[in-house]
This record gives sequence, C-alpha cells and structure tokens, in this order.
Amino acid sequence: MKTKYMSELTWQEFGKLVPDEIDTVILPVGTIEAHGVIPLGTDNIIPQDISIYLANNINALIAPPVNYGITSSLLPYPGSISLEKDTYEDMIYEILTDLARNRFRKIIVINGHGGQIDELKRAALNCFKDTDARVVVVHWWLLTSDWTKEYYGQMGGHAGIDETAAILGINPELVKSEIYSDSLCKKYENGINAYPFPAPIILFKDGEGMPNFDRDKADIYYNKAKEIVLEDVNAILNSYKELNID
Amino acid sequence: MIKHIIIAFAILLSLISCYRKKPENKINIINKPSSIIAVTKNRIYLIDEENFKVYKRIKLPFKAEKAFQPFPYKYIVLYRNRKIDYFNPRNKHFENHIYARNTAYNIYGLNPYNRLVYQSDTDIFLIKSNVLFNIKHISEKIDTSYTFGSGRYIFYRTKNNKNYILNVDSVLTQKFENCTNIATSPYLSKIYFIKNSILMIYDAKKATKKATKIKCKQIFISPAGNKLYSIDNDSITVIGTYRDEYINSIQLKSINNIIFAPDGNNFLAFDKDSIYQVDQATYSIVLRREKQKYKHIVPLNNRCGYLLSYKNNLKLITENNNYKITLNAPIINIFLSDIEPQKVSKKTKPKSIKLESITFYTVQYMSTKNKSHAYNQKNRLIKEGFPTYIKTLNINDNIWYRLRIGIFNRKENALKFSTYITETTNHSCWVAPDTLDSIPEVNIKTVLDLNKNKKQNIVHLDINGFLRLFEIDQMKISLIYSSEDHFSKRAKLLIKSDKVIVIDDDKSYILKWENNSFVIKESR
Repeated sequence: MKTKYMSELTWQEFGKLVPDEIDTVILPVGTIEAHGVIPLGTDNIIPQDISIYLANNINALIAPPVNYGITSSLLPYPGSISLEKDTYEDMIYEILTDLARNRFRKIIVINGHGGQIDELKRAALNCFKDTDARVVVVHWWLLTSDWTKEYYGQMGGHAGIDETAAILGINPELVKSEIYSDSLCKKYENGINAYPFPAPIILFKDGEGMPNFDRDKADIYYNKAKEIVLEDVNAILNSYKELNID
Repeated sequence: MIKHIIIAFAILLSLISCYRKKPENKINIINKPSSIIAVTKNRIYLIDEENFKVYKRIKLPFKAEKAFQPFPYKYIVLYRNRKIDYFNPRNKHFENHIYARNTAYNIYGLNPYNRLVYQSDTDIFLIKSNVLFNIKHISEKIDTSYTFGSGRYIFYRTKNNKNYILNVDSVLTQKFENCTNIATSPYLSKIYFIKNSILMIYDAKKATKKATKIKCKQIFISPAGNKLYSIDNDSITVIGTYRDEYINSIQLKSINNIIFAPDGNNFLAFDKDSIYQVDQATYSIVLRREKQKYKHIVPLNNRCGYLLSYKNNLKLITENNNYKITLNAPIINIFLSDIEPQKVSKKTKPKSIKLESITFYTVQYMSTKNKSHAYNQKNRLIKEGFPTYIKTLNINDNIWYRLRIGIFNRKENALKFSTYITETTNHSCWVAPDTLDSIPEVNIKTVLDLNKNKKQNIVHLDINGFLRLFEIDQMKISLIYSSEDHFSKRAKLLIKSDKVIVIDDDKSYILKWENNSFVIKESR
C-alpha cells in the first residue's frame, strides 16, 4: 500500500483494506490558536506528524484531521478560531462512531490541544460504549512531560519548550525565533483567569518552559517524544491482544 | 606638533577602550533561583547561587569519599567504603542506602533514569530498586565507561586501551576498534571517535561506520548529546549530532579541554593560559579569565560565570565579581541544582549526632507514603512521650516513610514495649531490626522520673498482669524493671505524683526505688 492517508484511497481500495488488512485508524485533532512564535496550527501540525510516525510503525490508516477545536483564553488573538464545546464534542463523537461504522476496530486519537481534553475523553468513552470500538486518546505533550523534564530540565508550556521543539523537529522554518522576546511569556496563575490571556506563550512554572531554539537539541527531543508515543500506544494495543479484547 | 599629540592621544584612548571593552553577555538569563551543592568528607553545603552564601549545612553521619550527580540530577550519590547513599537536596534527606561489593569508580544515570550504572574497576553493575545487578565482569581493569543510545548501550575502555560496547538488554559485548578520543550521545546510538586525525561515526544500532571530512585532534559532546565539538589547532567546529551537519565554528586556538554547564547552554574552553566561557546559542565568547588552580570546575547554567574548587576553597567567578567561601574540609565535588535556596536562618544546627553505624531492634508504628502525615504523626508521638524517628525507603520510586519508636538492645524488650503501645494506644505495632549511622536527637519531656536520674519512665501493667518499667534516654529505651510474678487480670495501675501503685483486689502495691534497684512492696 502506497498511502497511509484514508482520503487518498478510493472507496474500492478502502473496502478491500478495512477491516481485513487494517483495522486501526489514527485521528489527529487540534485547534487553531495563537502560539507565541510558532504557527497558529501548531496543535494540528504536531499530531499530524506524530500520526504519520505511528502509521508507519503500526498497521494503521490516518483519517482526515480535525483542525478546529475549542480555543478559549487565546481566542481574541488574531487568527484564533473556536467551536462551541458541545459542537466539538458532538462532532468528535460522530466522527469516531462513523469511523467505527466503517469497520475500524481500533481508533487512536492524537490530540495536540489542552483545551479539549474533557470533551475528547467523553466522546471517546461514549463511542466505545455505543460501538464497542477500542478508542485510545493520546495527549502527546502530557505523555511526554517526564521526557521534557528529563531532557530540558523544565516543564513544558503552551507554545513553550516542548511545542517549539516539536515544530523545530518538523519544519524549522515555521519557527520565528527572531520575533521572540521574554515578554511574550507569562506564567499561568491558578488564582486568575484572564480573557484574553496576557501572553501567547503560557508557562506553568516560574522560569520554566520558555522556548529553546536549538534545532539539534529539538531534533533529539522530538524524535524521542514520538518514540514514547509509539511505545505507549503499542503497549496498549498489545495488552488488548494479550487479554483477547482487541 | 599639538595636532600629532592629539591624534596620538585619540588613538591611545581608542586602543584602551577597545582593550577594556567587555565581551557581551549573550547567555539567555532566566531568573530561576538555583543552588550550588558542595560536598566535603563530612558535610554537604547548600549555597545560594545568587549571593553565594551558605544557607544550609548538613552534617554527614559518615565520611564521604566520592560524590556523584547522575543525570538527570535528582540525587547526589555519596560513596564511602562500598556503600552508597542517595541524598535528595530537595528535602535534605538520605533516601536510600545500598551496599556494594566493589569500590565505585563512576556512577551515572542510565535512561530510563530509574536505573544507575555503578562502575567499579572490574565490573559494571546496574542499580535498580536498590539492588545491584552485575551485568559485566571484565578481567582487565576498566579505565572509563559511558552510556549511549537511550540506555541501550554502555561503552567501556580498559586500561589496556581496548574498547567494547556492552548491550544492556542482551548483556552481550562487542569489541570496538582501537581509538582514544571517544564521544557518545546519551540518546543517540552513535559513537564519535578519531582515527588518523579524522572524525569517524559509528552507529551501534545499524552497525555502520563512516568517515567525515573533519580533521580534528580532540572531540567533546554536550550533555544532551545534541552537539559535538571537534577541536583542531585553530578552531572549534560545532556539529549537530542528529543529522551530523556542520553548524558553526568558534575561532579559539590551541584549546585542550571543554567542560559543559549541566544544562548544556554554555561551556568552558581551556587553552594553556586561559579559560573562555562560550555561549552555545550564539557561539560567542562571553567571559575570559586567566587559568587558576582548581580541582573541580563547573560553568553556571544560564549565567555568565563558573565555579571552581581547590582544597577547602570554593570560588564563584562571574563577569563582575569573584566570591570565595572556605569550607571545613577539602571539597570532594561541586554540583549545580535547580532547588530554590532557603533564607539563611541564624541557627542551622545539624540535626544528627555522629555515631558508629549501629544495629538494633525498634518498634515500627506505621508506614506511609504521605510525608506530611508521617511527620505529623512523628511530632504527635514525640509529644506523647515516644522517641520516634522516620526511616525513608525508596520502593519503585515511591518514598515510604516508616515511623519507628525507640532503639532497643534486645528484641524481647522491644516486643514488650510494642505490647505496651498496642495496649495503650490500640494501634498495632511490630518489632523490626534496623541500622542507623547516626541516632537522631529527640527531646522527650520527663514527666515521670522514679529513680531521679532525669530520664523519663514509662510504666505498663500488661493484660497478663506483669508490671514493667521502661526508661527513655534520648532514642534508647531500656527495660529497667519487670515484675517476676504477675498480678491478677483485674489489677489496676495508678500513677500519682511520682508514685506507681498497683491495686489488685483489696490490696495495693507500690513500686519503690531502693538501693539502686526497683522493688515492689505491699502498701499499707
């Protein structure tokens, strides 16, 4: 098979492949919102790249991505777009259940955005209950947070050290380090909710998570981050197999 | 003539200003408070990096011989006489205590970092869950070893200059070609080495070797393994290790050594006379100082400046200032840590007294993973008159806090005391053997002192009717009286103003201190 992308297959090809040859699909999801000095679509670009890596290492197709999501505190920044929470949850649920109707047994959602975790969890659980499909949701930056701490010695942040490293690893030309200044970073304080958030780079710990523009460092970081996602997804799929619930 | 003098003066001024122009500090300064850790044979000093003042001294209950800070820098591992202790600078506790068969030559982290490598002169061990696993015994002596390939491989060289690659999973060893200067990246499976003055790259995963076009005499790799620095006579060439691409070159001549800051954001380069600090982001020299004598030297993370130690002296050299602290003993090693410094309190008394390592019995009251609960309970028990200490144990990266009461010479006395605790507090305890290098200090209020020696007494009439008297001396608990016969099960104990009375049916008995011993007598 030449392509891993569902949308590049004809319906006849798809019918032959699924589910006899491939019963796993990867759904990249994200949003469009301000990301410091990296693209508005960072939360889409990274899950889509991770999806390619996963699809090349497990027998899976990649579904068309869901590039619109729930953007809240950064919505007032130019170029940020959001859906209502209910709309988003309904849409994800309907996509998941329709992927299941198309006879995918296992659905892996790769999420790149923190503002929609609860909606994704609910949609995944409801899809599993209603269709019996196995649904795995991966929030890549959370899964790799220990690695971020180990490698950079810091916690990540929104448009911070982890996401910037991933974009550097995917396409360094998308990182505009020349317009970076520390004033673009602000720590998120638990006691205050500000709309819009007063900085497009959100940090979660004092002095930690600011972008690092070292490309070589980023390459090693991001490559390992993808390996971690693959290992963890594989571990779940293997467990399903061993327990005969796959 | 005047015109010439003015011109000469202007040239002179401009020359002076050029000479005095400071190098621009381009290191990205993150205002993140951090600490310096200096280890001597009997103390650990925590020093505020900003004001270079000691804010905490921790007296070691043993004589440390070596100190390591394995990646990712969570613990300071102290070695002495075939034992290692993990010191956690965050909570200032020793969290593990491991015995080894061989002398430690090097201890380093092995990804994933719940494992450490313990290298002796002839063996390589893995330390996992507080147990040493011997994964390689070498008949020749080991000169040095490093890990690479995300914990998959260990490279080691023998004193006879033979090189080997050890696969950690299969424990198989493969001979590697003879070469001297080697650099490995912790996360990539590549080995960089020099052969006939040419930089070579070996990929252990693919088992391929290739020669580059780079001529060099020495190579160094950054702590994250992302950049390789190859040195020739005229410059330092920077190579990105992920793609093995040329990145930049730094015009520094005759460099003979490079030492990196732990976070890899800058490094020190040394020539015969000078030390240069280089910012890794801009490849600019941000500091130059004349070489001084040192035993250990560490560039600061994210700051212009470096630390050096020589004998008892610790120096901080920065752009504008030099600081010096003299410690109590020669410095074994110095480290940087991202722990936030505490404000200096006037009295920073060490909390433990030094003693030989002792083995004894103790009463285990409880065990919990909740640190604050453990310390609350400890304080409560001490208030209630029980000399309590906490022993920490790391099990699968979970720290357990064991609350233990008293130090007993004899197991049967510990058992009797545990019966007392169980019967009086309704809390079941058990007796365990234990070893401590130092006995923690504890202040138990003396409320009952029957023999007037200023030590607290505890009286217990157990459910079988035996009367027992314990004496508490700091952490030690001794049984100083135990009745030979037992009272009836209906007997009751009364303690009234330093008098211990047992009422059994219609008779009463009093415990008396006579001729340096306790006797029980019927009272009239």
